[in-house]
Amino acid sequence: MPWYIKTMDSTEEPSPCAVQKQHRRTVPLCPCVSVYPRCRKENIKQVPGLWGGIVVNVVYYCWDGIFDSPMAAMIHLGYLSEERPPKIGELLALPNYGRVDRAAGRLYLAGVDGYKNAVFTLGCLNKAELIQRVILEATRQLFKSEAQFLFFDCQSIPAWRCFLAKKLAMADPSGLRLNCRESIKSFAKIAAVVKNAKENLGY
Amino acid sequence: MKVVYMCFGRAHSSVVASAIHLGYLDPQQTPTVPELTKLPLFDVSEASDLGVPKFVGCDTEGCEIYIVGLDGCRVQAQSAIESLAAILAVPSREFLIVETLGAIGWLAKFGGFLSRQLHFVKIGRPIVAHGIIRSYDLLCELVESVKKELSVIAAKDQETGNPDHRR
Repeated sequence: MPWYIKTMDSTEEPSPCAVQKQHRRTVPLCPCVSVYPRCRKENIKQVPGLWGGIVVNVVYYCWDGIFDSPMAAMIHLGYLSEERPPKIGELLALPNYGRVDRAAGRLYLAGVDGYKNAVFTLGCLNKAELIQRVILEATRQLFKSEAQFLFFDCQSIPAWRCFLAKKLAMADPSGLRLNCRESIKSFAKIAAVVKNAKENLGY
Repeated sequence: MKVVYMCFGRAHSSVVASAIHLGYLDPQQTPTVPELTKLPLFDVSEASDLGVPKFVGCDTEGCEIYIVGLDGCRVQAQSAIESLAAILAVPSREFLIVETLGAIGWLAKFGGFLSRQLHFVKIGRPIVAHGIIRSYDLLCELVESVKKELSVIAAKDQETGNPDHRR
């Protein structure tokens, strides 16, 4: 039986751990995270034929999709530790961090996690709400698909700084270092977003 | 096959282009202002409609016609739809995104701004209708080029033996 189908005997007492977990899931989200629609493990439907059973598509988005969202995706996938901030070398070694050739608006696959959820990064510029709506509505109305998308805002570096770093990095790759220190500083916030995302996914 | 006409607010140029495509407006004859304002979706969209594809009908070849307003981020939203299609394993030949904003002039844009952004509907709606009439030939050319593109895609699909090219 798939893991997402919940079975519980009516006479069986839920364990304290399960109660705590259930309580944690009902806690409202922190303001920095927007989730639409609110996801619960028992509400998740497996979409047949979508990449061999991808359950949910998790999208981390930020201003340009090349600094904060790749870092969040890498934390989600376990390439970066959730406990300690990364070092500059670790950040620059990531395959999708600081990729100035990435276009805003395009969904980039970062990987698939252990629960078969696909993790994407997305750059929304200052139109995050509209891009989210386009993706959700196009999925349902244009492509007639039941694929589910969860969006998590992990923007922490100011937009002007991202813009400047991107332009500098186009001239010389060392321009990325302008934002590495900021990324490391904002590690706690991004890790909190990832933790919240995992709680919403029922991990 | 799906054709998506996109513009700024899903209120004017995409509505008229889809009406031409579906045969509600005659490409040979320039419409009058009342004919344009009688179109059911002309100058009626709200901010909440932005980003939501609206199905308006099927053409004679069976292609589904949609219209969508993408505000000032048409490039990004188009990228989002294209990457989404790749994620959902929808072949790129099964949908066509057409920007209609380039086919209309400043008068239609100004009227649209007055009507939709500032809510001066009584002033803005006739101005935008006149602007559309001025740009009507360009819109017809655009729709004609889309139809040609569709026929080329259909011919290619028939050559390659793809049975569901009109899905």
